[in-house]
Amino acid sequence: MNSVLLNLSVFALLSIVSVSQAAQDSTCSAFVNQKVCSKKDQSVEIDKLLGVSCSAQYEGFSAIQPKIRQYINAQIIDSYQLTLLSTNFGNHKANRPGFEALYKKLSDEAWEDAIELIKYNAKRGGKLVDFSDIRGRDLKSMVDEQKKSAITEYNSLATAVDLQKELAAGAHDIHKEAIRLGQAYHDPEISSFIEKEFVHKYSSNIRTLAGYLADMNSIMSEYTENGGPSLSLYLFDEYLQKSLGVAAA
Amino acid sequence: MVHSCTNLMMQQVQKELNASLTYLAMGVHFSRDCVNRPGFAKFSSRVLVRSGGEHAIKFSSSYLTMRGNLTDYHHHVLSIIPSHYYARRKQDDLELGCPRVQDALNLETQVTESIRKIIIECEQGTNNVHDLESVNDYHLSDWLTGEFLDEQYKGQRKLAGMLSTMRKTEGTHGKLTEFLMDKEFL
Repeated sequence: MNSVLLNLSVFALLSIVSVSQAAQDSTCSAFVNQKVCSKKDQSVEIDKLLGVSCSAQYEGFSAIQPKIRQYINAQIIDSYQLTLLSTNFGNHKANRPGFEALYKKLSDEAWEDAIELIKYNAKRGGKLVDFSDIRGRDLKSMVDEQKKSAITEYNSLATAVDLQKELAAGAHDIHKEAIRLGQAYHDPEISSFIEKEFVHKYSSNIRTLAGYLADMNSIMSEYTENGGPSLSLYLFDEYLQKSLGVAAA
Repeated sequence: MVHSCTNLMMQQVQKELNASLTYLAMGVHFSRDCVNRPGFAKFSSRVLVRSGGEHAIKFSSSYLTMRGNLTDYHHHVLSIIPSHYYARRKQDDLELGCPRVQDALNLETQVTESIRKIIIECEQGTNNVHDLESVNDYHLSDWLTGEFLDEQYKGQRKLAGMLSTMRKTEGTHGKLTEFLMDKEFL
């Protein structure tokens, strides 16, 4: 029994040595030295140099990168969708400057977040981000979705809650991928970035929107047979304008 | 507003969004570790992306809603984002600054030309193809000429200046000029 254990541990030790040997061969300095020796002019083609072990990529990033790219596109699409909502409340028929400002703010936030993520992707040595799928199915279905039912103040808030929850779920998904403890990789740098930039923000945004929905729910249930909820909506919009600091037109 | 003129304005919203995505892709390219041009990245994603995005909002949200449009069919504004030519480039294309600045200049020129066309149409727009009487939309023409053309030409001048500095040194110190110019934008 003991000898079996001993054999096993010797085997394990050997395999560790051979792994570290392989790792040494793929270091950046090994690569540069080899290139410099084999080339007279000593300049290594930049993409070939950085394509291997000298790039900014390390740890779990290459595995997590597809999710990050997906998330960048999700942020951009959400930003467009919120712009549509905002525009809808900005026209003279709807005339709700408060709702317009609310969705404009959320849209700008998503856009800024997309830029933040793009910068982060580049920092970790990520490849180009492909925006071409933004044109595709998602945008079409988003427009169809909004066409299906009339947009009201009340249901637009529900749409906004859904969008924020989707974005939160996207952030959590990347985080889960980054902290796969005991798996092939573990990248605390990514999980920390996601926590710092996204996780908490969505909890506050979702809470605020849920609060608005609760308020709308109660004030709209109060109206009498004589009139619709238009006064309630008007005052709620004024409240939104004040809390978002919309300048009086 | 007159139909033919409104339609062109809606198309312009899409063109501006397209331009802003293109510049965003350009910024991504400059931010890569193997390209490493943080100054150019900053220039394209801060200055150019913002101007494209803000133009789109100005056209749609501000102007068109101010003039009483986008009430029933506002979805059209975003329904087609035209294919942006930048995405068609080879993904791991590593060419550096000069051609990209030329790309940016070309795109800005296209946008300017497109704004000029809107002005021409809106000075003699019609509601139907067969209408004999045309309507001059003085306000929109003035707004486009004063605000947008001014910004476009100034932007084009800046890009053209960058481009000629780069061209002058292309044969001898192209890489070095690019390196130094990049730092100017930081």
